[in-house]
Amino acid sequence: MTTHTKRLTRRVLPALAVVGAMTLTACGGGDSGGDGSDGGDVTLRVAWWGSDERQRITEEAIAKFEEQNEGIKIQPEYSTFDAYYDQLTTQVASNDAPDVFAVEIRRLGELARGGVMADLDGLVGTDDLNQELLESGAIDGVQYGIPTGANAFAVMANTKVFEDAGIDLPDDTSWTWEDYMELSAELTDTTDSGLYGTQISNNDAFLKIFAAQRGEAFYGEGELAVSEETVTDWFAYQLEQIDEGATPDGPRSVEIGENVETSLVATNTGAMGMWWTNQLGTLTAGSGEEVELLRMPSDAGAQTGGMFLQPTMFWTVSGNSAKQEAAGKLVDFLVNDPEAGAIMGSDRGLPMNSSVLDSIRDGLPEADVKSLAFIDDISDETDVPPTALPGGAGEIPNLLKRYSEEVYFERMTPQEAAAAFITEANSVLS
Amino acid sequence: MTNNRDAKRTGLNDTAMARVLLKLRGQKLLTHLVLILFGLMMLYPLLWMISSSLKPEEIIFREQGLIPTSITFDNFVNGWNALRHPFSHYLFNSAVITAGAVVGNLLACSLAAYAFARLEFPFKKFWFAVMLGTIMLPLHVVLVPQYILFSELGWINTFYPLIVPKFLATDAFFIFLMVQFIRTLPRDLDEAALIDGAGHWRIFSRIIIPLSTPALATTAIFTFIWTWNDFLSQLIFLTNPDMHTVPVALRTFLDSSGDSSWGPMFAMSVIALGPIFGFFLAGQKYLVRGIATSGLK
Amino acid sequence: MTDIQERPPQADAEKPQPAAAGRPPGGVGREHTLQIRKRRRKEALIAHLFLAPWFVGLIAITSIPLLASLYLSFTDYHLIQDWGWVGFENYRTMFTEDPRFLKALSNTTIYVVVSVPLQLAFALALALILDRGVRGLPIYRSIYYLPSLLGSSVAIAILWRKVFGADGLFNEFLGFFGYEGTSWVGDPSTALGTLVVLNVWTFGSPMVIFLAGLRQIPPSYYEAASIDGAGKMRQFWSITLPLLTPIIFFNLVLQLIGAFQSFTQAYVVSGGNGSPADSTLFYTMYVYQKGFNSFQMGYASAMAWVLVLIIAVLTAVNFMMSKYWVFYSDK
Repeated sequence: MTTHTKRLTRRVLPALAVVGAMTLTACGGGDSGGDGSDGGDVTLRVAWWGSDERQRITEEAIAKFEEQNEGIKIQPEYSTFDAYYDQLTTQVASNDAPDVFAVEIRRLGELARGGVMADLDGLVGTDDLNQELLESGAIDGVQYGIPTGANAFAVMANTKVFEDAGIDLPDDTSWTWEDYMELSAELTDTTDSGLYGTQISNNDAFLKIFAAQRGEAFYGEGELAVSEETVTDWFAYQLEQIDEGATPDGPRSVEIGENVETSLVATNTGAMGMWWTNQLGTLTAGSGEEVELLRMPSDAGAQTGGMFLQPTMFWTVSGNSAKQEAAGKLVDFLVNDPEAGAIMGSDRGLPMNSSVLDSIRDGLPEADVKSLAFIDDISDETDVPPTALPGGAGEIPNLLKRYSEEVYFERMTPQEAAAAFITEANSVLS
Repeated sequence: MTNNRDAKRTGLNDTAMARVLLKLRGQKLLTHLVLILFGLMMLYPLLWMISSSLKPEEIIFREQGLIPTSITFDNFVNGWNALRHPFSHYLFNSAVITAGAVVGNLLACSLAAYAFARLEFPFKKFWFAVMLGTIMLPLHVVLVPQYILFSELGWINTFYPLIVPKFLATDAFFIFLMVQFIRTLPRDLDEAALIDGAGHWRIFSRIIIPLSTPALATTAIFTFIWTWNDFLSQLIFLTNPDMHTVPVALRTFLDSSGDSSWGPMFAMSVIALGPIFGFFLAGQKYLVRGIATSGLK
Repeated sequence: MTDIQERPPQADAEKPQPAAAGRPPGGVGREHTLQIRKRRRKEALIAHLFLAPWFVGLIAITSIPLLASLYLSFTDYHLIQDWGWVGFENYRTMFTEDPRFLKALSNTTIYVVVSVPLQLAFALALALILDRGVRGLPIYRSIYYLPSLLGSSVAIAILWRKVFGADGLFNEFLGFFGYEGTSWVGDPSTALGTLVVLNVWTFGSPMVIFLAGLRQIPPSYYEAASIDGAGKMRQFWSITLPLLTPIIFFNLVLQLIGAFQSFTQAYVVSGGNGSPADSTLFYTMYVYQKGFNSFQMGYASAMAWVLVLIIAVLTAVNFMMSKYWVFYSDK
């Protein structure tokens, strides 16, 4: 049904707008302020999401870049994550995308296949980068994104809560899902009321690991690869955690949600939870206690531990940008320059450039040192990093959360939820 | 306002009056008590926010109580300086946009409202329906076309997309508001003026506008508050951080993947409440300066 | 102002004249008709001058995105991928194949039906109490208005959990009566209710409009009524209420439109996904999700236009009904 070419896509709306422009010519003076290119200077618009701290250090690194590259000016654009894609997609649809922008893996495939991004081959040096991780930014052999760094999804344990309960930290090399549940329930029982063993996670990384242990991939080509049986068991496990008292009850679990600062571990009201390694710092600061990283549990017959390195986000260059060379230079600087690495640390995941990592290793904050050690520890057991995901993957987390909630409140059985989840997911993916 | 007490004072002996007064005072006391309790309940979330802004950041979510165990102004200091510019920069940007929007709405909407409320012209009902219709489409689906329109005009990263439309009365809400208010004004006023030879401009500027102070104040206050709090359009049309406004800046403190600066966010939210609350306090006396207090007494 | 003072309105104390007898019947003579026609033409011209800014805005700024979205609603416009014309496909899909659309529609309807009357009743009641010369009126008015200032703040997500969360104020209150509640925002059967309360909580805007409306009523009406011996209740029913009907009507129309479109509060409180289990998925939130999360802007536009239709029909009904209960002094 959709036989129109891309040319039309980008033209119809501007045409509509021109009508308006003509009626308003009197008022519409001036050029759009950002991309003035006077005197041979190039101005790059660079977009990313994140909080004030990330914005501060990124701008600091950018200032270094401007120092080293006279003639290139950087115009940053940033917003909070929830708003970032609103802004970005509006710009993309209006043919006004920033020259350099960050995306996460869930959106990379979709945007790259939509022809939004430039091939970075030859624009960015990739020799010192972790080649396995680099693969995750390539689609059909074209390098659209350069990973900024890596994380692993792991169990985190608040040592103080364990100590107060008089329970030892588990041996994470051998624990099973059954152990995890029993331990959590025991922690809930032995501690004061209002303290819990763990909190629910419906992060898709959890399901990905759960599936990998059964030898299943999460995504296939344009669809889910995970089996209905696995999803059913996963939902059932979540429900059992609630029923066994390993976690707070359904409504409470929903209320706690995914916010790190208000999580149980960060507020010393829970012993364990699952997060990305770059969230360890926030958990530690929030709780004011030692928080330890543990491997994900796995069942006895598991084919693999299932843990993996996830590219935290990617730097990409707009396919429409007339300044791709300068844009490539900036991306190259951000991922390969030790000075940039020293300023930005592990903010966008642990750097994946070996020489950058070596040069900043000693200066990293304690939580990062811990994460780095943990990632080194598990490096023999990890699966390959995920490759670019199918289009629509950005919607899967919300879908998973919604069906999880249907299960917690027993509006659907795990079986029903799994079937419905897979059907809806496959209709979304392309 | 008629005053009960004055009316009762005449023709009552002292003790009877004292009894009445006592009863009245009791009633008033009760009214106040209820109003205050109710007010406190209403304000709980705000109090929580103020209290959190005064707590050291790490303990905001660890500590449950409303009264902080230790008070610090770190969040205010850090929040003020955490972003690319001092927070005053964003307050200033917001103030410019807001001031422009208020003036624009007051001018353009009152003009349009006068025409709808007092004048006869062809297709009036149709245009009125069109005017109402423009309020009904959710913003989200017009955002992309709007962006294209404004970027064709070269208005992205300027304040024009947020101010110019107000001077063209695109906030139909306020036209409707003023139409309704003007229609509560008895028509004999302007008809009398018309007979005296006054033109419509004179009637509008000398009779309708002065008598519509409450409606104008309502428009000014609402425009101020809504523009001040508006996030989405400011986010989309102002991507350059130098142009950021308060709501956009406030969200810069948050990151859903963790590492949000909740303390500074609460502190700056408290500060950002200042101007709108101040404007409300200053404007509210005009809210009630209707016919009741004007020359019509 | 002097000419106004000379001509105080002739108020009927018992009951304000519902419909004064219109204009005198048109003249008989030809000259007279011509004069009237000329006057009418002049008035129309003046009206268009008054409306000029609005017309420019309508044509140049409002109508283009509006028409663009209408056109796009008949396409499968995707923000990133190729797209084309699909006719009524979007409209068919949403009513026949999209259970989430129906869920969003029913959530929103419940929300509108419950929260609008509640909020208006609340606002009117407080406006009446506060209008009665309570001492410290400006302070109360300001305090009651504060929540409305905060209502769309990003902080409200956390603050609302402090009220209706598992350890929130509401449960502490219930605790006095020995009832142990769970998380009201986390339970799909109560989450929508907390958003209704949130909307009622921000009753400041309609309250302010009511207050302004109350002050628009000429005090001479009350004075005349008092002299005629009408009691407070009588005055309320025969002066305050009828004269306030345009304002009540205004608030009703706009709160209805506003409630159907309500987005920010639900978005912020539920983290943008209608959690738990779609129980707070509002219509506009679903429009937003389709447009900006799935990039299916064509489908989102179609949904938006269905919403316009729903609101327009309701508003039209509202206007038709208003003939029976709204009283304008300019008639």
